[in-house]
Parts: sequence; structure tokens; C-alpha cells
Amino acid sequence: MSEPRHVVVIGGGPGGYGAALAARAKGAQVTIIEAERPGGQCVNHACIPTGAMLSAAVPFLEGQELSVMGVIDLGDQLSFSRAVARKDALVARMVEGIAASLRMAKVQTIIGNAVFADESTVIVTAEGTERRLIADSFIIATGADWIVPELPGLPAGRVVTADVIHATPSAPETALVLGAGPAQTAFGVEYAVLLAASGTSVTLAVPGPHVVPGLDADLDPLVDQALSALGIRLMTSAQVVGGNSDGVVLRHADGESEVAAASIVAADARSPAIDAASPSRAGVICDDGVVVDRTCRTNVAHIFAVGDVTGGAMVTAAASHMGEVAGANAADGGQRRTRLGRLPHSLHTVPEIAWIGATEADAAGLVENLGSATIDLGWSARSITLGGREGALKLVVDLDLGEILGAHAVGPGASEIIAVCTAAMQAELTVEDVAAQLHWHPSHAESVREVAQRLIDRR
Amino acid sequence: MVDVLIPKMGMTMKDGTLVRWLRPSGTVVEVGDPVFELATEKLEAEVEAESAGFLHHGVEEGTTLDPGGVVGWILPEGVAPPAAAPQPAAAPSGAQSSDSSPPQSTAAVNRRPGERIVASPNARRVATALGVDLALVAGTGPGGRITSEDVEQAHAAGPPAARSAPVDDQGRIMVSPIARRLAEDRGIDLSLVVGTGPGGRIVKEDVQDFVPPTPGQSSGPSIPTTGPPAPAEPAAEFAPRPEQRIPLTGMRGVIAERMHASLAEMAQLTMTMEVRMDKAVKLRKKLRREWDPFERAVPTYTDLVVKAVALALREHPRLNATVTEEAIVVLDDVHIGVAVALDQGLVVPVVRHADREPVSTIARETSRLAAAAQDGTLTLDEMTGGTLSVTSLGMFDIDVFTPVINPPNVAIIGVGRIRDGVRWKTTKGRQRPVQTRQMTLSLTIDHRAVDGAPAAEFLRSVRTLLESPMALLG
Repeated sequence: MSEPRHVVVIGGGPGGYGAALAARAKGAQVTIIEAERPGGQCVNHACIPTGAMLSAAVPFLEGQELSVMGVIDLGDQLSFSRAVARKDALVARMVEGIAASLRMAKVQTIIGNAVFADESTVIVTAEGTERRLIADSFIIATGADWIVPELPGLPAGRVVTADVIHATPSAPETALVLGAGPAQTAFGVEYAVLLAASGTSVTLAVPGPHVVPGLDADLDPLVDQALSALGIRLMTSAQVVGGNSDGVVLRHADGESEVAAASIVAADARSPAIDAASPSRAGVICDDGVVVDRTCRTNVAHIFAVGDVTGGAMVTAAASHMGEVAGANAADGGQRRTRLGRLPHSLHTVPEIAWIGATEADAAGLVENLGSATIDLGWSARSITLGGREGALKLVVDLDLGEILGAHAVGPGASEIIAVCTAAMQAELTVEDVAAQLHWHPSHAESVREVAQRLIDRR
Repeated sequence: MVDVLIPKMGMTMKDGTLVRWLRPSGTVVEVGDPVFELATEKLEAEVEAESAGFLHHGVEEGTTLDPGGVVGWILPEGVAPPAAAPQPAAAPSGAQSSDSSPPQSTAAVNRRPGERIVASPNARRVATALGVDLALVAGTGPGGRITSEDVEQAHAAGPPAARSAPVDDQGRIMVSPIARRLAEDRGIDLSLVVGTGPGGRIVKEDVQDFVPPTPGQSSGPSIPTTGPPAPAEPAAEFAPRPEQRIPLTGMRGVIAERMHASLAEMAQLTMTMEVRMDKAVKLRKKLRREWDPFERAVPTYTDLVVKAVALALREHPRLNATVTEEAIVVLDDVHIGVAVALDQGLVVPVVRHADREPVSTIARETSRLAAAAQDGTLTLDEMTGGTLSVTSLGMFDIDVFTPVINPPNVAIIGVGRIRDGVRWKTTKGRQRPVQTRQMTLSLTIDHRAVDGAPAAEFLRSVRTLLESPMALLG
């Protein structure tokens, strides 16, 4: 058998370290070059810090409810600065965990910058010294850059990207959260809820007609209602048209308004960091992102790219999956393909919002015999034991094939519910298979079985 | 039940005669056991069993059938062979026995679900290590037994990204519930579908993308051959799918025609030479440092070769020539074609006067031409008039190859991968190995125009220039 291949991974985010570990597992010799800290944007600036901050905000909001009922005695303040400190410690732990797993897998980690010299060489600059690395395969995982959007009448300094919010010692008094970036994500909802829980008076403005792009429109009222209950002012089809020292003027679905905004948060303004590693010097073709096929190969067969730098969904789940595929293919020359068609999304907010696959509107033209069923999560046993908050689960199904095309949930346990649907959809179980499942009682997962059963009964 | 068939061996085979049964009816055969002797117009061969079981003769010795005709069956114990005897080829033409030979009965690697796989313990170990599905490996050992070499070969040939329906230990086809239902709806035989899902199982997408094999392409059992296995007749499952057919038209057609004409008309001879690239590697590093800040194009290795070849052609003008019917015409100008691979094929845009242009201009020009080639905006002028071509497969890890001359040139030079090598250095009377960067140049010449010795001298000049690359900057 031949010598192990040398695989160089540029970028230590979820796509990059996923690729590094996968290539290692296939026996390759792996070097990973990260410009900042292992974990990349997800761990250091986005998913993990947001999740850690929300894990303070969400229990606080739930505690408020119990406090109002006199069940527990709770103060009415969330300490933003302490939440930030706790978040920093949690992020550090995650970074160390990733560094350790790379170490244990014997992946060589270099903190530095890497740019292509040609199709078989990268120049690595680390600690002031420059060296050349020649490898058999390269994986570009340089992620995305924060792009501060230019807004009319507002100096760039007033607009902050999401990473900045995690690092401020206190929550602003007023904030305008601009939702949905180029990748149409809904992370803006998470920041809006986080700030609202921290006492900020929040306006959430989204460019499209729906607050959560990708979520079935039937569930929109639940989202709107729940966010409004937190004091968040919602504006859809919104566009910033001007501003002054402490206000912003927006044109939106219901007209034009001026809102107070000490802080303007561009929630997900990211753009693929195409040029970070100068892949064009290796002859790699880029469009809006580095162009790859389903094996994650670029037009240069031994150069791969994964995650945000390729554009597309620009979420960690996609990057990790691509990393696993690319890492294994880079190590053994394989033809494994990514399966990103059934990619779940989850917002850890109050209410929880999660979805996967097509909305009913998306699916309408695609299959002849479309069916859908919606159940009220407010009446599920588990929801009631948790306090009886509202919610709904909608399943979109191709009735001829019995295939679940989409699942959308808002309310208690939405993430868990969609995780069950994700497993079923990715395994290509039929709606009958799902209706035949047995789950713990009381549990959120029971609702999945129930909605599937409802569809079958109606058929 | 597995049919024993008259295999189709080559496009022109009309029929085949079962000369002699090599195993009596009713005996047990293993995969790879010779079953009968076949004779066609062109050859004689022994046909092997493609599955294990009880052999049942279907026809008499001396019977002639169309390719694909059924001569017998291999069945489990206690199963009776079908009553109807196969029709000889003399029967009404057009009544090809394709009906009785479903397309799934085929090559050695296509085992039936549940069929026993005979493999050496070492082969099993290697298969586990490499993640190769033994069910997909053709055995070449005794009695069709799979050896570790077979596994390694199968691994090298491609990942185990299932080539036919994957089966589990019990021989059941692995398929997702939705994929199974869709296949039922569409009447698709799952045993013909290639699985690409987790563990190679068939998923919905695979059924959606499935294109039925074209009829009449089923071949018979595996044929033992001397020499390398003939890729000629793909088994039905592996037959080219319609969407994979690349018509010989447009660019592909021109390439096919020109390359074939090139080989047919010329007497092509390829020779190779090792070049030490240590200095060229250093030079590029230096140029990057010095030129990058000024945005001067830094030459690739191919650019350096282009320049070296162009300079060497001045010393060896016989290679900068065209062969006409009457004479060898030595050309004055040196224009180097640089091959660019596109999805549709290869184009060879031309760098004019490469001997006179500085290497930075060549670098800029090749990258401009490559971009234009990718965009499809090359003009006819940019693609014609080359006097010698340079083609690189280094980026595909190729070291040595036999490039095919681009008519009407008389030579082409192939650039291999830059790789680590070793040379022996003598210090204080002792030899010790030193790491070095090496590259192989592959020169193909038209022997009608140039002889081997001058060609070798030319190649040596190119090497000298690349090994003292400062000369390329002059």
C-alpha cells in the first residue's frame, strides 16, 4: 500500500476541523492552518456564544413566568455582563475541546495564515516566519467574513455585526436587529430574543415577508405573537431608508416608521471569504463562493472546499457535513457525495423554532398529491407538563410516496421534534414508518408520531 | 437462478458455438470454474461460472447461439431447470434470446444476493482495512477466489461507492423505504440500481436518477483472458448510461479525429528525462517574493518549461518544424502551444514568440489564455500557429506519459509532477542521500522528421535550462 497522503486544511472552523478529523480517520497525514482560534466563526463568534447567551436568556424568561405566578421568587434583571463572562468561559472550553480532539487525532495544527502559491503549494505565515507546504490535497475552509452593511444616512460605526453583541458588557437600551443576511438565515430572531430578555427595547426588521425564512407560513402568526409578547416590534419587507443620531427610518410592509436604536445589529451579514487563501492562484474557480461539486471538489481535482466559503446555506451543520465528505475524499480519492437536501434548522429562542425541508407552498408544484397536517403542541402531554405554552407542528407529505417533504415546528420542544423528523427524513422513512414509532411518554417526540398518524387516517 | 450464457466478446461477434461442456450436468460449480468451451469466428475461450451452485446443461455440445443465448443454468440444490430449451441461433433472426437473459446476469463482480463470496482471509482483512465491499470485487484466484491483490485493485479502481445494488449479510438489497416505494411505483428493478446513500444503500435520489440499461447489451459470464482484462463489453449494470454518453461531435469529435490522425500518420516516439527542479523551485519562491508586490505575473512551472523549450528550440530548430508531403519545413518563429483542460476536452492556445518574450510576459499570457479558454472566448488566432506544444499533467500527480503530437507539429513535451527525489552527494569520500525536487519531462517526436539522438539532445538542452533557471530570465 502506498504512503499516506498529505492533506492540508486551510481554516479551523467546523468545516475545517471536521475535514481534518475525517481525513485523519482515513489515514492521511493532516495539517490544519487556522488564522485565529480553532473553532472558527461558529465556536468563537456565532453559534456557540449565541447559544451560551440564550441559555441564560431563555431560562430567565421562563423563570419570569413562574415568578409572576409566585411559584418561584426571582429578580427581574438578567445580568448581561455576567452572561457574557459565563459565555466566554464556555467558548474557551469548546475551543480547548476542539484543539484537544485535533491533538489526540495527531492533526498538526498551525496558528497562522495560509495562501496558495500554486496548485500544489501553500505559503504559511506563522509567528513571523514563512514556510511552504506542499501537499497532495488541499481543503479550503476559510469560512465567511462579517460584512457591515452600508445603510443610508447611518455611519458604518453605528452598525455592529452579531459577534460584537456577544462582547459588549451591557445590553443597549434600544436596538434595531436587521434579520436575514445574504444566506437567508434567521439568526436575527435569536439576537432579538436575547436582547429583549436583557431589557433592550428591540425592533426586528427583516427584508422579506416572513420573520423566519424557510418556515412554513402557517406558523408565522405563532412566531409573530410570541415575539410580540416579548416586547419585540416586528417589521417585515423592511428596508432602512435613513437615520439620525439615535433613530433609524425604515420603510416596511405597513408604511414608514422611525425607530429608536442606540445599537443597530446586522444579525447575519456574512459573505464567503473567497480570497482569504487566494485559491485563484491555484486555478480554483470562484463564483459567489468557491465552486464545488457534490464531492466537495473544486475545478482543480485535488483542491476541495467546504462550508461558508462555498456559499449556499452558510450554516455549521452544512459545513461539518461537507467537511466529513471532503476530508474522507481528500484522504483516499473517494467519490463520497454530500447530502444537503435535508438540512434542519433550529432557533433556540422562546418559543423554540425549528424546521426542515419544504414548506407547503414550496412543495405545491412539485408533487401531484400533496398532503399536510398540523397539530397543536399546546395540548401535548409534554407541553402541558412544561406549563402549557402554545405551539404547532406541521408536516408536509407526498401522499403517493408517503415521503415527508417538510416538517415545521414552533413552540415547546420544537428542536427535539424536528430532530426526530430529521432522522426520519434522512433515513427516508415513510410516514407510515413514523406513525408506527413508539416514544417515551410524556415527550415531545410523541407529537411526531401523532401528526404522522393523523395524515394516514385522513388518507 | 443464474443463466449460463454465450458471452458477447467484442462488437463484431455474431454468434458463438458451445464446443464442449467442461462440467457434466448436475455437478456443483464454484464461481470461476470453467464451464464450457466457446468458439467464435475469431477466438476460442473457456467460459467461467459466474455463480456457485448446481450446473444444468440446456443445450447439446455443438449448439450455436447468438450472444446472450442461454446454454444452461446454475441453480440451488433441488431446483429444477426451466423446461423450455433455448432456441438455437438458426431460429428467426431478431428473436435474440435477450428475453430469456435478463440484463442482470453478467460480469464476475455482479454476484447474486445471498451468493457465497469466496475470499482469502488476507483479502478479507485488506477489504476491511480499505473499506472495499467484497461483493463487488472480481476474484482472480483459484476457483474465482478473491485475493488481496484483487481487493487492492478494486480499491484503486475506485471507491466502493457501490457499483450495483448493495446487499447485506443476508443478501437483502439495502434500500430506504421511500426508495423502495418509488422503485415499485416506477417498476424499477432495485437489483440494477446503484446505491449512494449511507453504507451504499439505495436512496430516493438513486432511484430517481436511474436509467435502465439499454437492451441487447447484456454479456455472458466472465471470460478468462490472457493479458489485461478487456474493458470492451461492459456488463449491463455497468453499461454507459445514456446521460454519460459523450457524442464524438464538437470539441470532443475534433480531438478524437486529430489525435487519431496524429497517431495514424506519424511515427511517434516518446522519451523521458529527469530534471532536478530544486533551483527552479527556489527561483519561483524568489520571484514570488520580488514580483508579487509589483503584481508581476510569477511563472508557473509550466511557464518555465514553455520558456525553456522555446529557448532550446533555437538551438535545435529541427524540432520546430512541420512535415509536408515533400519536405520537412523548419520554421523560423517559435510559438508554443499550451494545453488547457476543459470539461469538454482540451484546447491548445498559443504563446507567440515564446523564445523572445520575457518569462513574466509568458506567465501573464498563459494565465490570460487559460482564463479565456475556460470562458470559451479564445479566438481562432489564439488557437492556431503553434510550432510545438507543452502539456502538463503534473497537477494530476502524473509523472510520465506519452503525449500525442498536435499536427502539424513534430514534437510535444509533457510536464510531470514535481516530486521528492533523492540524489547521492559525496562528502569526505562518503556518499549520503540528499533530498531533491524532481520532475520528468516526456518528449514525443515524429520520427519521420526527427531522430532519437537529436531529440534527446533537445531534451537535454531543456533540462539544462530548467536546472539553471536564471538563464530563463535573460
